[in-house]
Amino acid sequence: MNKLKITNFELTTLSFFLFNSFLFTTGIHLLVKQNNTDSIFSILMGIVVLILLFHLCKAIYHFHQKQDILNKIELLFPKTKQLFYITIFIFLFTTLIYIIRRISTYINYYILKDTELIVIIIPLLLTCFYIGKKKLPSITKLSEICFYLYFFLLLVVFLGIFPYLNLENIKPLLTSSLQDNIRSSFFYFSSLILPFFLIGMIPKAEIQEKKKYNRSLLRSIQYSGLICFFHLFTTLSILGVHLTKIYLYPEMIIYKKISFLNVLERLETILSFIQILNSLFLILLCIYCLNYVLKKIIPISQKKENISYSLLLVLLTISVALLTIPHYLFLIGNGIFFLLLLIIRLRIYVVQRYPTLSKSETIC
Amino acid sequence: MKKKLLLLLFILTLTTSCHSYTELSDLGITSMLGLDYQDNQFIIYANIISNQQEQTPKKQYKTYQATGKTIEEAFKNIYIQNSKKVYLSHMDLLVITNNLIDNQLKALIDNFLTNNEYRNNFQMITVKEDIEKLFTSEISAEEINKLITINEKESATTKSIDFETFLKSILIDHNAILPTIKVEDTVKIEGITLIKDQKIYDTLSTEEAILFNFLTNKVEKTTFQDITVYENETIITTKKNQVNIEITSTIDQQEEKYQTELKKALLKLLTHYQQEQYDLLKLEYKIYQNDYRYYQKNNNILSKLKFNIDIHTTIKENYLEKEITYE
Repeated sequence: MNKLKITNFELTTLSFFLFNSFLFTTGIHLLVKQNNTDSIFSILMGIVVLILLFHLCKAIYHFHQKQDILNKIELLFPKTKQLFYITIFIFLFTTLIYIIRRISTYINYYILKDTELIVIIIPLLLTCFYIGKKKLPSITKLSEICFYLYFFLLLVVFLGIFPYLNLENIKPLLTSSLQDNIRSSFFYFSSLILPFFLIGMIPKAEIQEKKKYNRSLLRSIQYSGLICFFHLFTTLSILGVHLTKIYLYPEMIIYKKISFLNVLERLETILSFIQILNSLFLILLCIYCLNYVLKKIIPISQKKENISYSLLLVLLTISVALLTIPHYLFLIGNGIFFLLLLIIRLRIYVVQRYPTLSKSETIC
Repeated sequence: MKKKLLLLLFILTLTTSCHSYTELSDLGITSMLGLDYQDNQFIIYANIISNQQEQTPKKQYKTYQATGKTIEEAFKNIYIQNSKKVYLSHMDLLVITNNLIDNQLKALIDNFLTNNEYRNNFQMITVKEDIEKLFTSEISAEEINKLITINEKESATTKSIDFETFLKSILIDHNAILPTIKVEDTVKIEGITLIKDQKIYDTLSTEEAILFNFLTNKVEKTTFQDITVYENETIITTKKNQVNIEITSTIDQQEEKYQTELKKALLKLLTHYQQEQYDLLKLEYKIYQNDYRYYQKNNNILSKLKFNIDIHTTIKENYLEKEITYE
């Protein structure tokens, strides 16, 4: 076994965190706003749609397994690749501003109340850029370590909130129209398209057991869906629909309730790390991908690579400090990535179905 | 390597937590907060825990009073008299006046929702008048909270309500209840205040509060018409417009009288508020939860409700002869 390769478990944990990012980027309160208690079903519907999207993307991951998704674009669209890269760069950058701004505000609001936003943004970005500069195996190993920590925190949450669960708050069920159910599950699904693109950054050939590649990814979708369901279910059954709707992060209100024998109390700051982990790996892979795309757009020598990376950091810091990206732009960004995935998938279909029509096989 | 070390050092300087830290002794930990609204001004009373050195055997708290056009402004004005940062995370009790409920309840809720320092588990009470007297007396939040919980447990004459429960009630149908106190020589329980459409609506006397607690399954021990109730369980189920209330009590004597009188009193209370169009038990919401189709098809469900009350009793066993004759 090659130690530099990514194990299947590491792949599962990384993609698990990527799909869990929904809890941070969109949040369950938006689902509940749309669909009240029936949002429980929206998550289940969303998981089904995500699995369908995975089957659509499977062919992209399997195509030229030694290449990542950016190289695959180069192979499939040699003439228009720059247009693709610029589009990816713009929307990745916008998404990053949205997530980093949101996480900084979250830390500012719940953990470091009196600290200036910029003081939170700079160390956060420096750390993320440092990890993002590392190769993929380092990021996936970090995700494995964080996975154990995440489940420990989740166990604490579960044990702590168990006495407060009240199933009466889940009632009434099956009251929404099909339209509302679809709209609400759309929120779940459309927030999670970017992870499919980012998973494409990991070439299949880098994985230790390629046979289990699909199973690893499917598991991560299912596990993260279960975690989202768990969060939604517990929040609704404790706070009820009305309170869940008014808080941006209703989970934090629940964490504040956790107390063990009146001795271990006020754990919400530690438990808020759950939400930070939910978004951290999306930020890391976005930065990794952004740096990669930048190199594709402007070919730079290895010596100057650090300069461009630092410039990217400065640009992102200034943008995050000055700009606020609304949630709908984040969803639009995800929509663009959906289109990109669809175009790539269609092109692969054409290349594989009509090899003579395409010149791409000569490039491979 | 050097670059990495430099980067690490730079990050470390930013993550020392030295930025905007507050010493514990600089925090004015507030245990009880009072809010009043008079002449278009908010009046804030804050009971702040004194430092150990400043403590005298009699008083542990220092009370500050400030006014302002908004709650935020009133808080800022506290700093004119106080050198400590008002810290609300450990707040145990919020006292509000009827005036504030009638005029600025929404502003109060908004402030508590937007300020993240509060926790949702502090208790809430109303005081009809004399909020100033309450804060100048030496009664602490802990004592008032104990007064409420002891009365709730031992006589069921009141009901403790925390901020989250209050908020949930307001969000469901703009109605809520709050325990009420009265300040005379000492602090006394004064039944329960009813809030409708974010305004004071009515007050339940202590006798009515007992009945209300019967209906909300909050009676642990009480006395009803000289009959002692040792245990009680109330289950409310709804089927369309039928509200079935099943009460099982352990009492000391007079089973028949208890059953008939309690049923009569409960029906009187329920029908009175039904006629007044005040949903005392949030039954409409209960029907919305249990029978959504019926709820959708019908308007003004409250007036259509029919109550069926069943009371079962058991006499508490003791270790005495059944008939004791004193000669």
